[in-house]
Amino acid sequence: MYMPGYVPSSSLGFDSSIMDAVTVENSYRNSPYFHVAHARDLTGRDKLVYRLLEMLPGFLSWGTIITIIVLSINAPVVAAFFIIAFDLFWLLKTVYFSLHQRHNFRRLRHHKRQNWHEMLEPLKYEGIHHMVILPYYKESREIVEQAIESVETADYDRQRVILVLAAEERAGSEALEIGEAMLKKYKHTFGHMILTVHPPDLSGEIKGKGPNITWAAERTKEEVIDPHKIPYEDIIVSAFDIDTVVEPQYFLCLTWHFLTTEHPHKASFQPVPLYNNNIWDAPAVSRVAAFSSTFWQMIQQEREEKLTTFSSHAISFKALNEVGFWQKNMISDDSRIFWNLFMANDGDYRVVPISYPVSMDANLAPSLWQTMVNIYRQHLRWMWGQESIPYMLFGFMKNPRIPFKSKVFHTLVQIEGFWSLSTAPLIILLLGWLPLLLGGDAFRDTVLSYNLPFVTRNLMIVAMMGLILSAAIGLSLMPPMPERLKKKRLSRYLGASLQWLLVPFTIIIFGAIPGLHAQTRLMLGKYMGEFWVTPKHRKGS
Amino acid sequence: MKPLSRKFRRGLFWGLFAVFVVGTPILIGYSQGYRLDDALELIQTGGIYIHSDLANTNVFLNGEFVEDNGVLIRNTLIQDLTPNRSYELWVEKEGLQSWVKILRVQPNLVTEARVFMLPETLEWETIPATSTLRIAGTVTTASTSASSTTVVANPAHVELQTFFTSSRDQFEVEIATTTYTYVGAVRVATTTILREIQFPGWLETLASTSALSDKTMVRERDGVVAWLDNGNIHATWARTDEAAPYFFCNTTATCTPEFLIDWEEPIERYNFYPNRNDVVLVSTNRGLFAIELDNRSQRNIQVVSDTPSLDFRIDTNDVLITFDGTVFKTTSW
Repeated sequence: MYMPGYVPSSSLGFDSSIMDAVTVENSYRNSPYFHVAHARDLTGRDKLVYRLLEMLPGFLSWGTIITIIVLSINAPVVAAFFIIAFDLFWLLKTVYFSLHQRHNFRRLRHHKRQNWHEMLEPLKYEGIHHMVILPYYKESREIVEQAIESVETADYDRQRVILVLAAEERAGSEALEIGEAMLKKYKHTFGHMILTVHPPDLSGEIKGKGPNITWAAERTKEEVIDPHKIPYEDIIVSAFDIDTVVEPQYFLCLTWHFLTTEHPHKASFQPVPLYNNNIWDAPAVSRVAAFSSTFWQMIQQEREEKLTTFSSHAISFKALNEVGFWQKNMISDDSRIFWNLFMANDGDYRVVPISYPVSMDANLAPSLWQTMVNIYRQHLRWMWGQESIPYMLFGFMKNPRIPFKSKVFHTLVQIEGFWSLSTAPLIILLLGWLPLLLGGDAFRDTVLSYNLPFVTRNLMIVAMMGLILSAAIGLSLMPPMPERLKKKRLSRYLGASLQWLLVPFTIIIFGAIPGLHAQTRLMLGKYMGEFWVTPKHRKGS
Repeated sequence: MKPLSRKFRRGLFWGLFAVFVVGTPILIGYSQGYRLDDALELIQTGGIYIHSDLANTNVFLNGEFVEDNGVLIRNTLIQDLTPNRSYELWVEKEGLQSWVKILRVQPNLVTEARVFMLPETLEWETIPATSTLRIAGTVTTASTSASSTTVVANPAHVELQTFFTSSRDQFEVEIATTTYTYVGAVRVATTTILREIQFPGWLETLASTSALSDKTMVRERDGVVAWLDNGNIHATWARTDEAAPYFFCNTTATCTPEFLIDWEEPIERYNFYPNRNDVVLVSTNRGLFAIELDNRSQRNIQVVSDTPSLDFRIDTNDVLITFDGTVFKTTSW
């Protein structure tokens, strides 16, 4: 037996605006720092402190690399000790993560098979509305329609779905025509469907997804939610990408988690992003990069205290409204909304993993080279999420109501996470050889020098055993092969199994290098000014 | 289905943390060669690393088979050797002369050596001085009848003769000096070409301290400079900015500045073995031999030819050419 953590306000006649008025007064959300994007938004000492915090991730990563180089020259034995210890640390970390990944895979399968209707039966969920924001730019009608159709065919009362198609005016008339055609076709399918058009060049906004979905949410509030008096507490907002395709029970699963979570307005809800829409068409390097991202999210789903929102996610409208929706002046709106809410709730905010998949597009361009360029740019944008580290640390300094323990915990988790992403592949695969190359003849003659490559190699071979698990899980998560590809069935499956041999290459090219690139830009104050929209390409389109 | 419980994760974390705390020093110690000996005492072992260019040789240590060095990675690393002891290495392969070395192992150090193994029987091609040309047809005139064969100078022999006479020592340069005289009112220029030894700048210090100008057959290969003096070969490490290679260093890992190959019979001619700076080819009145510079134990000496007092050269294709005063012979090892 479980205790539902939430009763829809519609069934109680609850007026949320009263609570808003009480809590808003002393909140961090009213501080001038709440929507800060970069140091340049501040002045005086605050600006200096924020600037130093922006430099911290890059300083740590470059400091690590430079220290290893210097040690390899001047104290190669110490460098070798560090590398051996780091290799063992990495192996154990792989074991730790593999167990998390394996459990989440089982949970994911279980959740897909679960009858969420039955799970919801004891709960009053008839009042829960789902607001789905689908922001788009210049994507094709096929992609836009596929996302809408997946919402349409999902197992949920469509009358309680508010579908928001969020267009960008700067995308031109063709994009607006697609939106209008979709509106005309699906308007009567959902309880509410609106097309919002985000004007270009509004003050205080970058060109990006954040301003668009915030504009869309505000318009929906004005045009749908308030006029129809839908209680904010009863709306769960799913902020998707335009290529997000939901699985049939997504809204039921999300509703169940929302209703059974204690204080659901102090939580975001995170599905597992798969990149299955075009996975059989994507080249091996793209598949590996896509699954690496999925696997990382699967691991994080099992350690929810470390989870932050990523890509497609869901939040209650009440919570979003309280913080003014997504930040409009920075790139990484998906992770920043978590930190906005975390700060606004004085640390009493978390992400609930729902271990249920949504599917998006893997990177695919007309040529392999362009695909690789796109993967790099997409990962650079994801790595730019490090801009939330100074925001987080600055918020910790300015908000004394966040428990100290929580501050220390999140600081360590975030900094170690990004540091590790940027430096670990380099240490393991490249820098491990430096003491041999730079350590001089005296070091080269030692037993340690001869053993270093063997020890490193053997530890990494054991660590790579995890790739067998990854290959198996990856194959299980892939959708059925399209009919048109079945003539090459064997080679395709072989490719999907052997693709994991590319991991040493992908973790450097699409992990460490974009990570360092993003950190260096942040360190030098060369802020990303525009959200790079990943081009969506389908074979035959 | 619930996520992994905090209790399980915490247990897993601390378990793996314990493995890390215990495992790291063990792994570092292992990498430094620390092992338990038969008396269960911790000792720091050493190792031997054998460089080899030859595939599928059998490596023995103190008479016990260690490995077939394979085709791809031909070097052999022997680890976990009790230090401060000498070990006899034996490398053999059918058809090749065996290589033996006794090396002393130091704690925490890997002692290096490099195998060289010549074929037991080298295949020689003889280049005779003359060739016999067979005339395709017989030409008959009224008075005489032409012979069907004729003996001519062998062009390959002539070419080798030229190669031998024109080849210069490594640091020898030709300097042309022109003098002018007047025969009547006509100025006549006479150019004389002289050969002179000139050392490159980086060798000048060694050249002056060792009086290299007074030595014969001064040669350099990858930093090792050797010369002939009173029928003996002297070799030294000439690169002052780099540590001397392992074969200059004796069993206590201190490096000696100079080698001496001192034989009973005088060495008449020598040169470095192709692509090696640790092996020289030496010609004496007993024959032609390949000898290691490495004298950390008895030097490996392998027979190339038992013909006494051979003159020899190595051409740009690493072909050995010998000349006994009459016949040239070539072999490609």
